[in-house]
Order: sequence, then structure tokens, then C-alpha cells
Amino acid sequence: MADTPERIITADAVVRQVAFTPDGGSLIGVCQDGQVRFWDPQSGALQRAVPWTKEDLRGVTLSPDLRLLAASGPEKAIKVWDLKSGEMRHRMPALPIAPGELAISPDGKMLASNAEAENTVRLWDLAAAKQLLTLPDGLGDSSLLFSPDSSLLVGANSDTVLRVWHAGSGKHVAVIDDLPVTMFAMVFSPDGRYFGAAGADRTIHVFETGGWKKVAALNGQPEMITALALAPQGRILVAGGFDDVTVKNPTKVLIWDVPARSIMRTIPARQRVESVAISPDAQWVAVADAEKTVQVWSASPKA
Amino acid sequence: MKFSGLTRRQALESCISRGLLLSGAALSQTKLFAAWQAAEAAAQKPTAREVLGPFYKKGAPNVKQLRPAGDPGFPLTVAGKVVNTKGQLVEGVKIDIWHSDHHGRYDLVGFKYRSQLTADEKGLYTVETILPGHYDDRPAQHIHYLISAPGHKTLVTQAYFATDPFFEGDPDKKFAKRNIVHNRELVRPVSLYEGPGAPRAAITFDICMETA
Repeated sequence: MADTPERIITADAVVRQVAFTPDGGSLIGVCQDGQVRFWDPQSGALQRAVPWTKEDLRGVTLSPDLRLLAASGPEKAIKVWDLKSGEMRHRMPALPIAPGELAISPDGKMLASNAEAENTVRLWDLAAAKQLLTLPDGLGDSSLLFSPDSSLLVGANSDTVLRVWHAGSGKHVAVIDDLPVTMFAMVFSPDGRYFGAAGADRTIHVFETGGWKKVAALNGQPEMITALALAPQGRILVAGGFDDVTVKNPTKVLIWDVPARSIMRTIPARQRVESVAISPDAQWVAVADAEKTVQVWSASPKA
Repeated sequence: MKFSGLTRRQALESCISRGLLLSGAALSQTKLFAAWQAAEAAAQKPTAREVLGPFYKKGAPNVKQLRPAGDPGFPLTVAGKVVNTKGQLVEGVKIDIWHSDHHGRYDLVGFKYRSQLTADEKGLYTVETILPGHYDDRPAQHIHYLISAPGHKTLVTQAYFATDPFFEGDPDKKFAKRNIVHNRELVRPVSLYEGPGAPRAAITFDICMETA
């Protein structure tokens, strides 16, 4: 059986982030050309394209409920758009340095941002467009992620440290400093009890969030991991990444059965993977690559 | 002489802030001028910062020989002196350096081309390694530095090579190409010379730290 995707969608621009809508009816691609494209995941047909910015994008993120899109660019101000209408909803005050990584809390109330040279994470009240807290951060850029109940914020820095803050008070809940290398991608289980981080050591480190102790390490990825997606049921995890020397080298996307800690399927990607997503019914996996395409694969191996 | 443009108060403050004087109350104008001149001569500009990058790895051993026998890379010696902005030697300095192999690939499993160096009693450090390779995301050859010392701001920077084809033979004009290198001073002149057996390269990368 040839290892080919069910569909290849041509996006006309690099897709920074992909996501399936909760009803599974659309596949959303946040494109580097400042358009958000909606495709039918079954046919691959373009349903609509929402133009939202002409700025050169730096940090960009979808809210977990897929209603909002936050982005930062050369203007050094984070802007937030309504994904349905394409209208700008909020604009944060301009910062001294253009923010890099961004995250929106699942309750839609908070935004977190950081900037490499500042060594701080800023926490914002979205609706008021007001900064709530400045959290002292480690060295280098960091990935940011809120917990499902929006109570915690996690930052993964290139000083290899994971910092967990209580989003309300800004106090440290945990500082995990025994990871050997930088973590690029993070994910929480839907119930918030487990947390996974993956990065330059090609391993997915799984922690339980009660005491922030490591409970598992999923090994097997041939390249560095920069993208993770967990199915809503929390059982199936998709991981993709890139070859550190050249984006043109082919990579592998791994689909994990998390409870069994085993690899369900290995998908070949033509080159660097920008983002991965899994459909709400865990049947389909979307892979956005650096070649401006989104490939839709069956999550289960073909018989 | 720029001293004429300074008020006595400014000169005093300048000397005191650099740790040369505890108080200037009893000094004559001549002595103050001499102290200011000495401070000016010893004062250093802090080394420019660069991004940390995603490939840092904690816990590198303190080794000066990073080039194993038979390594296909171009042999390179990196040496320099560590001081602070007052021109003083920095006690307890730790210099983490890391770079890719000659193909542009980092060792993320072990500690190949990674070391945490110390400076000797004269503030000098040296390491034997190879010229790093090129890779897509950061296509100028570079060596990463993370330098820390008690009482000083941690410095994250990178050293680049004037001979790198990326600079097209003209680092003065091309250093800012593609927004990769942010400061011309970080692009170092490269000495190329005949070594025993094979040609060799050497750069000097002096480090100046800011006090915390």
C-alpha cells in the first residue's frame, strides 16, 4: 500500500498553524500571507478565505476555541482579530521590542507574550487591552501555553527550563530545570492532569501536573519536534518536526497511542512540518509543511 | 582631550561609577584628570548581544580540545580575554560555547563541539575546534556563547567569521544581510595559516561583561 495522503491541499502560502473546527466541518489554516483559509477536510475545497492583516507576521496564535487570532509584527503591538468576521477586536499598547511567541487562554480572557531580548513574559487582559503582569523569564525565546482551565501558564525557554506560573498571581507553580535541551512544543491533556513537552532531543516528555513530576518519555521521533496536537479524547498524540540542517530534508510525523505509549502510525512528510492537527473524531491528521501545502492523512494505518 | 568638556562633578561621577575612586573630595584637579584618563583607557564597551538560539544544551564538560583526531572540519583556534566594563578581570567566569559540525548539524545527544570553559588567571580562554558549517535557519557560520559570572549580567552572544562566504567577501557591507547578524563587531577577522599537516584558522573573541 503506497504511503500517500488522502488529500493534498495547496495553500498558496506557508501555513503557520492548522486546526480542525470542533464540528470537524472545516480545516483552518493561518497563512503567512495574512489570510486565514477554511477548507473542507473531506474534499479539500476552499470554503472561504478571511484576509486579516498585511503585516509581516512574527508571532501568531489561534485561541483554543478558534474564535480569535492574535498576531505580532513589525509594529510591535499585539493585535487580536475575530476569526469569523476578520475584524480587529483588540490592540495591545506597543512594546519596546516586537513580541515573539503568543498564547491565548482557553477562556478567551488572557493573552501571554514574550520577546527574546526582554527575558520577560507579559500577561495581558484581552478585552481591556491592558497588561496585567510582567513575569521574569529565563534566557532566550520561549513557547507559551495556558492550561485547559486557564489557571496556569507554561513557558519553555531556550535556556532549557520550563516555568509554570499561576496565571492569576504570576507566582511560580513549578520550575523544571532538568530537561537537557530546549522544548519547542507543548500540550496539555484535555482534563489538565497531564502535560507534554517536546523539542530538540526528539522526545516527548510527559509530566503529571499535580506535582509536576515526569511520568513518561516517548522516544522514536527521528527529527526534532516542533509541533504537537492531542485528540480531544486525549488518547492520540501527533508529533512533527524538522531536520536542523535544512528544511528541505524529508521528516516523519508520528501518531502515538498515548495510553499504550506506542507508535500507531508513521507518516512521511516532504520537508519541515510547520503545524499538525487532529480531527475531533481522531480520524484525520492534518500536516502543514514548509512547501505551502496541507496534507490530510488517515490517523489509522491502512489495512 | 575630551576632559575639557566635562565638569569636575561629571569626571568624579565617572571615576566613582567605574570603581576607581571611593570619593573625590580631597583630589586636586590634576589627580582627578589622571584618574579619569586611566578610567577612560580601561573602560570597555560591553560585548554586543545575540540570540541564544534553540540548540543550547546544559551540562557541557570543561574541555579545550573539541576537535577529535580525523575530524573532517577546518581546524580552528578560538581565543580571547574576559573583562568587565571597568577593564577588570572577571572572577568565576563560565563560558559556555557551542557550534555545529562542518555540515551545520548540532550534537543534541552528546556534547560534541560543546564546552563550558573557564578563564585563566590572566582572564584568557582558548579552545581548539573546527569552523562551524552552514544551515538554513542561520546561514552564517557562528559560534554560540553564554557567559556568566557572579556579580555580572549573563551575556548571550555569537561570534561570526569574516571569511564566511555568506558575507560575500565584504563583511562591512554585507554583515546585516537577511537580518541574521545584528552587530558588525561580532564578525571577527580570521587568520589563516599553514599548520602542521593542514591549513588552520584562528579568531580572537574578547568578551566584555556588564556588572549586574
